[in-house]
Amino acid sequence: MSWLRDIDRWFLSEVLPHASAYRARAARFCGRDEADDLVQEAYARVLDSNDFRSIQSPRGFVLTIVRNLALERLRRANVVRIDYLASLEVLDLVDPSPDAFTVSSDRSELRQLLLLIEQLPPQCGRVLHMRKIQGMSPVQIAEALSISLSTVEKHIAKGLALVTRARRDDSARPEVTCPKIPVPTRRAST
Amino acid sequence: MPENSRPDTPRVDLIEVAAKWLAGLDAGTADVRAFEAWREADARHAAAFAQVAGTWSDLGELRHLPDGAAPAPLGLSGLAAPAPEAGTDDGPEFSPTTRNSRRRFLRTGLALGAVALGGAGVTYRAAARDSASTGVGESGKVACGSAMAIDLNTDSRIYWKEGEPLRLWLERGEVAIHLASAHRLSLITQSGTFQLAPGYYNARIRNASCELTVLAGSGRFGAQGRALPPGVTALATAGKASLRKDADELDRVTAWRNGTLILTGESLDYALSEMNRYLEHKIVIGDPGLSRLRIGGTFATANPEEFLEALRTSFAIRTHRDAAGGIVLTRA
Repeated sequence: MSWLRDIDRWFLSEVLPHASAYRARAARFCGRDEADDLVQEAYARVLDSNDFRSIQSPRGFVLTIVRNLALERLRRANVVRIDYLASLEVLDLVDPSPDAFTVSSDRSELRQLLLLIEQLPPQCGRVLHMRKIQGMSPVQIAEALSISLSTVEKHIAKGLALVTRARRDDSARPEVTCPKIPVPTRRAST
Repeated sequence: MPENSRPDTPRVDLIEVAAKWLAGLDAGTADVRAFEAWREADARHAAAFAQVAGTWSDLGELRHLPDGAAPAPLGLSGLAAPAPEAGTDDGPEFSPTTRNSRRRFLRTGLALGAVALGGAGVTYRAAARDSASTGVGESGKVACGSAMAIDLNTDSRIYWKEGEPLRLWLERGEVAIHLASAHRLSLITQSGTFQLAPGYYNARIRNASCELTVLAGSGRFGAQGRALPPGVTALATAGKASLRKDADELDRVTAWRNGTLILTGESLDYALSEMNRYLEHKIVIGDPGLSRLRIGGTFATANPEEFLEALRTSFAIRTHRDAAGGIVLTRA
């Protein structure tokens, strides 16, 4: 895709595959409602960095940004839930093997993607299917379905947005089982 | 509680906006400069766009989902159609044949372009390659002296150059190669180079990869010289090859030379992508739910009507032609 910059390609291959880890960490700091917003902000910071190539461990880097952003928000907030503060204290213990993760888009993930397409509104799913799976051009699709090119475009945009969001919500799922309040680091001696 | 530094545009909207940009860029209707300005304006825009672009490229991967590896569910395969009359050119002579009206016979020097840059001097000519190509639905034959004979499947392009070894470039499509004894061939593809001994091979470009099946003979691939014994299929991508061996596959690989497509429980998606290689007017799925039907049988590639009839009768699929001549499948 010629409209991607180097930093975007790097982002797609090194940063985005670990989305569920960022999301889980963000959720632990500031709750699930705000988690996605925090992760989006972290992505923006990453894409703003001038020297992305020198980042040794993109996953660890983003997790640190998530933590710092969470801290900023908590400082600004007037009322802070005490369990979130507790989680900030222990967060450095939580991540077992920073970049040992290998995430690949395997077949089950692709099949999941197929399911998402099937769940789209009918015409929207049809158009996206024709474009991406059958490899038809937008013009061909417009002719085949007797609709205008701009309608094809609208369906593609809508489908793409819906699928992107659905995947993001999916990526939150595997991490939900994490304990909400981690065990404190120091125990009171008896 | 006031949140002063929060984005004024909610992120949900940004994904939508990014998706609109991408759809516009894809359709060629978006102003690229305006898009870049939008992306530069805010790193959140860039982040939203990158995520949408990630979905976009993953969706593209679906086209290559190896459905053939999955077993056919009972009751959905078993579509059978009689094979068309057998071809007559299975022998090593590669004589011209008229069994397929669209099949053209190409001979070195006839209808073949020399790819030379300027000048008619000997040096230029020495550097030149011969070429041959077929259009969609066509097939062709090329004889390179007595050393090599090549069948071209639909929508294919090759270049070759005599010498020792012979060199053959497969740019797109699919070829069957007969290499006579005492000759060696370098088959050069975008994915790497195969060194082939005398024998019979099938090579097909699949997107960024090249699939080579050793029907007879043997070869080596890549810088490491990975051995390719008879009967294996090597899928080469970016200089690396993965090998598999499946006796059943050999028939399927060569079926195109008889003008047939053999399906053993692949998804309709896959079946159409194979069938559409031969068709000017493509068959498309108008109902995504149909794409996972599994199809089995042997079908003539020159005439999709038989294939469509099988879909209509076995799966109650309705077919209609759109204004442009393409065939759209929907549930009846």
